[in-house]
Amino acid sequence: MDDPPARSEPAADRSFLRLEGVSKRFGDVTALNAVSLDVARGEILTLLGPSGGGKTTMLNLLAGFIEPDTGTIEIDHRIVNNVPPYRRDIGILFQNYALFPHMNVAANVGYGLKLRRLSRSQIRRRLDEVLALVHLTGYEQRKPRQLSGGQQQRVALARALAIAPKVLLLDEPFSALDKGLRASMQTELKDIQRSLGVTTIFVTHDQSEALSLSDRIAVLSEGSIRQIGTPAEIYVHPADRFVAGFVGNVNVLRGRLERLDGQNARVSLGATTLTVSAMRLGALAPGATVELFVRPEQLRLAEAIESTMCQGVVAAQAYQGTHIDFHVKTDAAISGRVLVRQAQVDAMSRWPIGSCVGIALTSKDAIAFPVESRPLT
Amino acid sequence: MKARPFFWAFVTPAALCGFGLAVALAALFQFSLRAYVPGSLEPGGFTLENFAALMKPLYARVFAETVWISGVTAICTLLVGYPVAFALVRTKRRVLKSAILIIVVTPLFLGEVVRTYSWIVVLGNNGFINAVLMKVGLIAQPIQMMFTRFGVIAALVHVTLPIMVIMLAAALAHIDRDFERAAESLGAGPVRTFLTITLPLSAPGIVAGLTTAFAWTFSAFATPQLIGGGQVNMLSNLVYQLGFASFNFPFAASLSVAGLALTFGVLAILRVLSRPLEAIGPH
Amino acid sequence: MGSGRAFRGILGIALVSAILCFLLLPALVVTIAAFNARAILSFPPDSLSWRWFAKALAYEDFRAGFRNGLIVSACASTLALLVGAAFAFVLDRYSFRLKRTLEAVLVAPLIIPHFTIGLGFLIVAAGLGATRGFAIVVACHLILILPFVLRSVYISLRNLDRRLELAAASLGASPLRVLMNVTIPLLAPGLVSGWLFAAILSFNEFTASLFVTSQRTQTLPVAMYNYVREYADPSMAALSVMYIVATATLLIIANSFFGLGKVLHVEDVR
Repeated sequence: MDDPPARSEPAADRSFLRLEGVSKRFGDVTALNAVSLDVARGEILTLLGPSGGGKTTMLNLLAGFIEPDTGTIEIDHRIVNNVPPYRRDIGILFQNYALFPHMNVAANVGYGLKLRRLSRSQIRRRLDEVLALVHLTGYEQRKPRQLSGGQQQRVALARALAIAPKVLLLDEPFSALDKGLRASMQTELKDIQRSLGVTTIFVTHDQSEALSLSDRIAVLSEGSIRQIGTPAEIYVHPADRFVAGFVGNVNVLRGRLERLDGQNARVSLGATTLTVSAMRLGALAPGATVELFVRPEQLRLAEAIESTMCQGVVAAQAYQGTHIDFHVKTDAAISGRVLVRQAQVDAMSRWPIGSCVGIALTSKDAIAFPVESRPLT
Repeated sequence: MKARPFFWAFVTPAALCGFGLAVALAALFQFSLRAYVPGSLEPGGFTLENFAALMKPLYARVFAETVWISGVTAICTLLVGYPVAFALVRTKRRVLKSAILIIVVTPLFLGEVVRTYSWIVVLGNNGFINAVLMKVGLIAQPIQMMFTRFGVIAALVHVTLPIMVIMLAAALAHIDRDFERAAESLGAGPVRTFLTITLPLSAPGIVAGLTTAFAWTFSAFATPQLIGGGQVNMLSNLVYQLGFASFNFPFAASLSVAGLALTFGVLAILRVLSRPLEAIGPH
Repeated sequence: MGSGRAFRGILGIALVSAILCFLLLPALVVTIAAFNARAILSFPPDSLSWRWFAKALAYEDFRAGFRNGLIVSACASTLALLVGAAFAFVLDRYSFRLKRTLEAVLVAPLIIPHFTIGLGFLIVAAGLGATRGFAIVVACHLILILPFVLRSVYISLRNLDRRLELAAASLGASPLRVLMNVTIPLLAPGLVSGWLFAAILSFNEFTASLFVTSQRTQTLPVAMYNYVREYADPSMAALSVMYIVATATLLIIANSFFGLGKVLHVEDVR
């Protein structure tokens, strides 16, 4: 259990885990299509995407349960394509925990340690250490079926961490927990990861989880990475319409490009002209149709007579505690409706259902996409 | 006030069947306590003579033989059946799976007589094995396999193998593969994973298989009768002989009762020994 | 993933193949022996012929045994299906005081030797003064195959989605209607395969039948046994071959329709 020899400064090791040109097919289906990815040592990278997008395949490839058709996988600068799982030094937290039912907590957590031929006292010491880390000291003799869901997950985590793995893989670890438990477990996990500094790959389809836990997010869909970036980058500057639509709520409005202005673009929508981000427009010619992707919190409701972006009729209200979501029917939106988020307490009475409202844009960070934009490969 | 539609209609027939079985066993038990009247099918008065006679070394030997053969057969069947069950469950190709399943299951449906008869053709002095070995020149005289314990056990293993494989395969199929993946990720190679994870988790299936194999073999008749040919006598053969050769039904009944008690005894022991395994169970 | 795995793979394949050959050996050997033109049961045959097949098909005891076997197994398996499915239903859904006891009694034939049950039934028949007719044989077979049907239908019931029945009931269906329109159709594969399984087991049952059948009612296995005790010619081999072919065909058909793996519950869960 010594610290691994310092090959390079931990902070500078940007490709502790690396996939290069990795593809995997299952019969006719391409699960992963020439994917490349670099993960820095000690970072939490989340693989986010809808089911079937390739995240589970990538996890299985990293673990070594399946082999890639093309490309290389490197862990700590060593190619591991042909290395079986039991020699890869990885820790996995499975979705249903996979705690060995015929062993108690101590035997489960100590399983990997026994295989590494440590002395009895070394194993005992490590066991105590790691159980303390997950706040389960004293549970050594319990069997998995005597534990609650949250406790089982902590034991599974302890088991994976006990062997001081190079990489920690988490497969939708919170999906089986109740909402309240989920939040506290997420915080605990992040604390543990920070204190240990273990490189972590986290797989989930829950975008709010991804946003709150990750150092960086890789959005995967149909076997390709759509975008890799920090949570803020992904949320504020989505690379394409898929990422924009998948991470967080988004409204899509159709407008016309008037002119480009450096970082910004002037887009006309009905009678008004708006300033939005031109980051994804490239060298589009004026006059072209563009789609505006606007977050609900970037809009506000206004009186219908004010000079606003568009007009509409309130179809529904949803009280969310911290804010109110308004569903407004409007022709400017491609789907016919926009979602507007208002924080004021009196908004529900001020704009009742059926009332005519105006919708205004409050931020310059809305993004415009050309109508025929193709996704990033 | 719980409505239970069909309750009486559905329970009564089953209850009647249960009653029927109980009556048959009671009749058996009753007969075992009656005296044998030679030359007549009617039993005499009540007596414990039959059970006393069981103590005779001749009969005790048959009991021991039956238990021994059943035990050996069960264990051999387990050792032979486990790899097949494993292959059946883990193979990925549909065609292979179906093929193995058909090969394993067909003997189950052939019936004792056909199976045993086929073994006679294989084991006989003019049979397959001897013919091949002599042709190849490995032996000069035929090896005696018929009328030996070896022949009987070989045929019994063949008879019991299908059910053992099915029970083991059912248990193996229920083991979540994630357990094995977890073990591998922690550093266990394929052999270690099998020994520490797969095998223990399949223990309930092993116990069920051994229990069934023992019980089935204990009740085997055609195989020891035809292949044992009088040299190898299991309990069933003795009961038949006494019943239909000597018409000593009371004694045959007492043998059956004793056999039943023995079976239940062995199975109860197996049950107790496997109590700690109950905790595992299928997930 | 390394030569170690490949080696284990080859060793494993060799072992499993050897065991499968062991399983197939008697069937193959007896098939070859059945075509032997000579009357002696020997191996290998010098010349081939169909005559034993003809003889077996013409032999009156075999024909009678076949007929009797069909009658007995058809009656026993149908009764077993009705009684067993009904009780499985009760086992799954209701509880009552002696439920576990009754269940244990009905399942006991799995571990009670067949000769014991056969002898018991024989004694009862003699006691009732009943001649050893079909009734006693069917009753005996019924008891013997009931556990299999019970288990099979019970497992199918456990896997049934109860919400489908609840949906029907909420739409206004009476319990009888739910049973006829929802439960039974959904259970159909399990019921049919359970029935088939039971019928085959009954047709092939030997030990108990030896005790309870008479000259008039003897089933095919008993007829075959009596034949083997007296004659040593390959007629039995021919009959065995016909048996094997018929059974394997039935099973292959059953496999393509129902998937034997699912019926026997050996399909991989994950």
